[in-house]
Amino acid sequence: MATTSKEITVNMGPQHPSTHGVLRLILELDGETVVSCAPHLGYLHRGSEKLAENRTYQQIVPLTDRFDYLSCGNNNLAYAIAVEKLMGIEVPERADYLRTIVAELSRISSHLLWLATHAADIGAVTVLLYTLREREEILELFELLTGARLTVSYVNIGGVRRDATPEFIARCKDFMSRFPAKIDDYDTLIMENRIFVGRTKGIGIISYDEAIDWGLTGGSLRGSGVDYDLRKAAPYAAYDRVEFDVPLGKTGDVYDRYIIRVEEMRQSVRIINQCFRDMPDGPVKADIPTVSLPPKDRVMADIETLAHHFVLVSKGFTVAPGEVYVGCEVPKGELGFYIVSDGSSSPLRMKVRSPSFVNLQCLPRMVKGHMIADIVSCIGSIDIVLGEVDR
Amino acid sequence: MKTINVVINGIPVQLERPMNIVEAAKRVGIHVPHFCYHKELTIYAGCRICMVEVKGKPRPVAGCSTIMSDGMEVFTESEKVIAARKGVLELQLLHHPLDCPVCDKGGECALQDYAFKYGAAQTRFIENKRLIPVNYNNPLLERNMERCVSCKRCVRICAEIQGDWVLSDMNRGSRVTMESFCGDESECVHCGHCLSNCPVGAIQSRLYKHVGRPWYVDTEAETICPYCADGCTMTLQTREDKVLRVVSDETYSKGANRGSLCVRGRFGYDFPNSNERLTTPLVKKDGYFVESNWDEAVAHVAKRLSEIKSAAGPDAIGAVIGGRNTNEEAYLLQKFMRTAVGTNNIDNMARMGHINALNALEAAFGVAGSTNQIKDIAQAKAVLLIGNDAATENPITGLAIKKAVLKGGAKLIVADAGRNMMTKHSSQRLTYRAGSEGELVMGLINAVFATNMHDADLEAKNTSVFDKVRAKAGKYTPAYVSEKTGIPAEDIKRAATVFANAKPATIVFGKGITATADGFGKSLALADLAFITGNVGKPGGGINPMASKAGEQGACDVGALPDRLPGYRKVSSAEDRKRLGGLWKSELPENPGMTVGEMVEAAGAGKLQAMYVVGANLAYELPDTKNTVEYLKKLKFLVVHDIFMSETAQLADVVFPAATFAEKSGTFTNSERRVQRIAPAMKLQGGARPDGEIIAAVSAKMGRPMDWEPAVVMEKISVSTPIYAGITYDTLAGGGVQWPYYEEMKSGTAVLHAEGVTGRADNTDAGVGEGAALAGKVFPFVADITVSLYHSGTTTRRTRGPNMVVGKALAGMNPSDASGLGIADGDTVVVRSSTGELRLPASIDKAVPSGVVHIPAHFADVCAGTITGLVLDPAGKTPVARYWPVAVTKA
Amino acid sequence: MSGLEKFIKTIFFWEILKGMKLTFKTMFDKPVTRLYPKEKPVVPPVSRGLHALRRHPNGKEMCIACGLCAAYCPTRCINIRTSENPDHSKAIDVYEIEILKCLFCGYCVEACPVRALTMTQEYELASYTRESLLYTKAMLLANGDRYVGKETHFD
Repeated sequence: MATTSKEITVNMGPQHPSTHGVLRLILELDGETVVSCAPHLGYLHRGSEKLAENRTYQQIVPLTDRFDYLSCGNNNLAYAIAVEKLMGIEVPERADYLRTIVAELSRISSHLLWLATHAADIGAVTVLLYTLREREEILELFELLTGARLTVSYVNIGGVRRDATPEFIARCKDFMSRFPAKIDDYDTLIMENRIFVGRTKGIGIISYDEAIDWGLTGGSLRGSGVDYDLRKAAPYAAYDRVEFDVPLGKTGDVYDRYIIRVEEMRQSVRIINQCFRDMPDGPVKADIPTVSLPPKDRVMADIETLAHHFVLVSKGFTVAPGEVYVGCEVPKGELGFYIVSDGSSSPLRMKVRSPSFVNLQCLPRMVKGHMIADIVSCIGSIDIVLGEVDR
Repeated sequence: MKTINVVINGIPVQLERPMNIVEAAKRVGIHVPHFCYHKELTIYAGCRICMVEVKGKPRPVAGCSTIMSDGMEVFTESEKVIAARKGVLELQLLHHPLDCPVCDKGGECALQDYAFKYGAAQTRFIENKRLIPVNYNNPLLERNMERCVSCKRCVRICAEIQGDWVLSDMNRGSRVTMESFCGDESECVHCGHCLSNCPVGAIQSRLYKHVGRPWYVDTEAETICPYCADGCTMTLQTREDKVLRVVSDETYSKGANRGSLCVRGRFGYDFPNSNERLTTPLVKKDGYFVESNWDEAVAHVAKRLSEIKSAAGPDAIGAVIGGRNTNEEAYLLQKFMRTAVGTNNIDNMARMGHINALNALEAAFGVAGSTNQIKDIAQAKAVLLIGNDAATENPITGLAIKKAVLKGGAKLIVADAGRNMMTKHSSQRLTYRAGSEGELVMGLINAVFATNMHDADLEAKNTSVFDKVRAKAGKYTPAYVSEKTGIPAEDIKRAATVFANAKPATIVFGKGITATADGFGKSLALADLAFITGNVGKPGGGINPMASKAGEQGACDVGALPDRLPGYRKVSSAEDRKRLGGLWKSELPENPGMTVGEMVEAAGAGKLQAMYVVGANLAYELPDTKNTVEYLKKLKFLVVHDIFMSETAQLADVVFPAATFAEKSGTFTNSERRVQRIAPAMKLQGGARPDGEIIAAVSAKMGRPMDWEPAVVMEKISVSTPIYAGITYDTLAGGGVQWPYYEEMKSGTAVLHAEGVTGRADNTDAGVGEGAALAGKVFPFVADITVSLYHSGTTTRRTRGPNMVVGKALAGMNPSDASGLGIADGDTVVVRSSTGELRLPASIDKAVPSGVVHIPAHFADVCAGTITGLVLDPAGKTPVARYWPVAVTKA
Repeated sequence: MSGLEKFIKTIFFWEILKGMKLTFKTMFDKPVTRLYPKEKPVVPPVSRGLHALRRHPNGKEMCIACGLCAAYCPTRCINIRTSENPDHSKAIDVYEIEILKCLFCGYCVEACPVRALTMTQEYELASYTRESLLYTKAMLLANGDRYVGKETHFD
């Protein structure tokens, strides 16, 4: 009997647990082999870039929380640094260290959730139970520091919104002392696990050159062995004052990307510990009356301060005409803000270069020729958050 | 003139005339902070915040009082300047209270903004602040002098632009306050110039107090004031479909008013949100109104009108449109009457007087409109203001006249039979007997000719017209006129000399001429006066008739007249009827229709069976209220569109709830022929709909569908109305156009007949009224029935602001008359005429001439129509009711 | 790792056993999960929960209705309507927070010049109706009364 083969088109997502949100993939399959894959986006589009054009610079900070909602501190930081660069503002040193601490805590928390879901997608559900235990501790630390667990809106233009309390510092240091052992536990569970290794090694290989050509950043880039980390390449906050290593992969497969993200968590712990060691005392907001809100107890005490407070709150500060691009190393890669100012108190245009969006473009290339099941591990390995893809 | 080359902050600027640094910097978009400087006011240089650095000068100089000279190099943001500003601000803030959170200026306060931009971050002042009680003497304004920065803009604007000199600076040093002298606010006309000019929160609106914040504003619409025919541009701010306030143009450059507003425009804004608004169509059943829905009510109206049309013919139906309606609505109504109904019985409320002026100007110069524009008046060297109280009826025209007097040194001749608030600015006041306006004007013409002050060059070209006017004026010798008018002959001669010798000189007139017997002839005589003195066609000259309401001029322009088609084409012209009929795809009726007065009379006689009244309150605005109401009751069918349950609406069979100006778009044409757009600032309130939409719905039900969207209607108007050719919403976008519009120059016409006038277009002539002395033995007084500054009728009754100042009708009387009758201020008097009587409190006012009693025409409880009779002037068919003989007794 | 060791580890599922050991060990740890809603988490005082309007010690509301919270709010979820009292002071007619729109960023608290608005540790805001999530002035004052004397979120 003569057989005929025919490619079939399968729709994966947007309501699929392993697509990490509302990603929709249109797959062309030859049996179980992926012939082509086309991501369809926009299910989580909220028009943040347009919204920003109608908000004052300070009011945009909470919007940035909603890009990559797993590492809000990093998004706030990238945005704040962009505006500060445009305005030429220096932030106090203590604020720099606090920003770094929050950014690295966010990175750990983001990586923990990534590890949990990535492993769970592949079948190792156990890891999720362990990582969420530690993530919960980090979220509690955030709440202690900023008042919110997830959408911290902690980094503000000109500094951070509140100083770290001794309780936070103590609890955070304690957590940092315990956390590396926990990372070892996760490794115990999956690093050598034959199923995990079998499903990740040699899957979704992106070569050194390809990674650069695709514009990959973050763990996805370094998994292919490209030594590029914005914290080293263009240091911001306190990264130029701390020591850390940038882990690199060799083959550029899913397993390499897994390995280096786990290693990044260890490096983050190193950075945070150094920050606590070096952090000086002092103010956490830039002493620029036309940018930072004055202290509350002075507002109703003298008219000059009241006028500053009133104008800052009701109209916001104006930014001299100009444009700026600043990229920061967030857990997913390079988050860039391109801001054009026309001299008013809100941006004329704000473009967000989101790492998830760019990294996602590489997915069709990664999964081509692999099985359907490998798509899941590939999506996990590029670590996307749809809130950031669609903005 | 040589141009001046200067450098400001490194930017080279070329100035064509010397100007101060603040204005020069504005040219290149640099804002020099200032409190006391205002481009329309004299330089005071008192706030010292506009300090700038001039190269070569050791100290910073004041930017407002330093005139730029060639080669000057200025730095407005240098370190030295900023340090100087910081010091000035520190001193300004020494005494400033900490009340930004409860000050209504917060968020739009110049002091706050400058303190943020240039001020210190923290005070060095530890002593107590000054304490000054808030002044609530003014019903509409509150003055909180703790917040004052002593820029004196309020004082100067009150004196220099408003010309009322109410405010002055009291006390000295840090205790200086801006107050009315001795607390006397009686001269205040509540125009709010001081309010809109206060850079801080020292002067605030009591209507807006604690109500708004700049960031609460949902919609901001630049629109046109719906009250008088000056057509002022203003901005309505709304929040959640409620009018928050009216703001005027801070740059003092936009529109006919150039930033100024009067009390009605600035404070009379809350009627769109009145809870008395009609919300649903009402149909009268068995004598009571029953709430209906739109489909039913429209179908009912269409059915009844069709029935009456087929039973009694189309001429048994008439329509009237009021002064609050837009040009588009007037156009739709007249088209509806001429096509769907098939009659020329369409009129508008310009019939109450303004139409006489338009007819006269058309007869004299060929164009039915004011020859000049309002702001031109400021250039005049002499102004003859006759039969119009520009300060109350058309306050912005009044401001232009005041500007001519205060800034240009013009001579103002105020001629009026009654009270005239412009008198204090006049160089000469002529108080004639009511009814003898015509003699006065002819007397002036006679005096001009007698002393050969007329324009001889013009006479050489127009000998026949001049001869005719000279012959007509022959009998009005000063002695004769003096006897008729009661004005000394010398005064007449002097006025004629002043007027004829000033170049340019202009004439402003209003209802005191047009709404009297022979209003047409009197208006024509004024046109002759302007013509023979050679003032027509010159900026600052010409003749300016003042319409009463925003929509009057426009309704006439677009053909809401019984004898005229759109663009003043005559109904009797078969050619014009054919052209329009082709456009409208309909045969147009050829018999001229009835005017408002005739319609009411015909209704009484049973000849008119149905009326369609849009936004006009006939039962209140027409004279002889008692009979008018009786006649309207005799109608078989009366349809009324109104925003409130007006006196006329109460008589109607169907009442449609109409939209106010704040909810619809459209255009108004003001007295100076300027077509301007209104824009909606909020959603339609309740169930109201724009009048145009209602008319179109009824028309469609009667088999003639029409487009009603204002922009589309305006396009059709520009095709069918020659004087509006080329005017679309796009051409109006930049702040209005004075018709006729010239496409090739992309501009309207500010001054008509600039190319020269050839004299009267036709040989029309008319009598000027033969001084029928109104007052007699039985009725020794003359009632001067007019509007006050604070009210205009149906709408202002429902506004909070104007009612806070003037809340009830008062009979203004001269002190000598009052004392003769034993009447004291506040006593109730009975004003009695041949038709009825009014009871109202007296107000002793020395501005009212002896023998005159001033009766307001806009309060619900005191209807001036009660004491007048319906007498139609033969020429214009206008009701003659401005002056009426009455007797006054103490109640 | 020698080939033999690797072989032995492979046939005895060594890495699996290592993982099982961790799991077994964890069985004796104190559980970290909470039986919510029976056990409620302890929320730090700085937590940005439901808003509250505070009162002066004499019971008078602190809010002066300046509207700055509404101006600073990135989502514009605060709705204030004010008018004039007979004594010319500012009266608050409406003070509403549309909690469904709220981001809980706490900017409103930063904006308040008189520390009348604060945020509390109240986090259980779920409701069956949309209307009940429009927090009126009375509801916010009542929430403030629950936190009298307790530390709440300030900036």
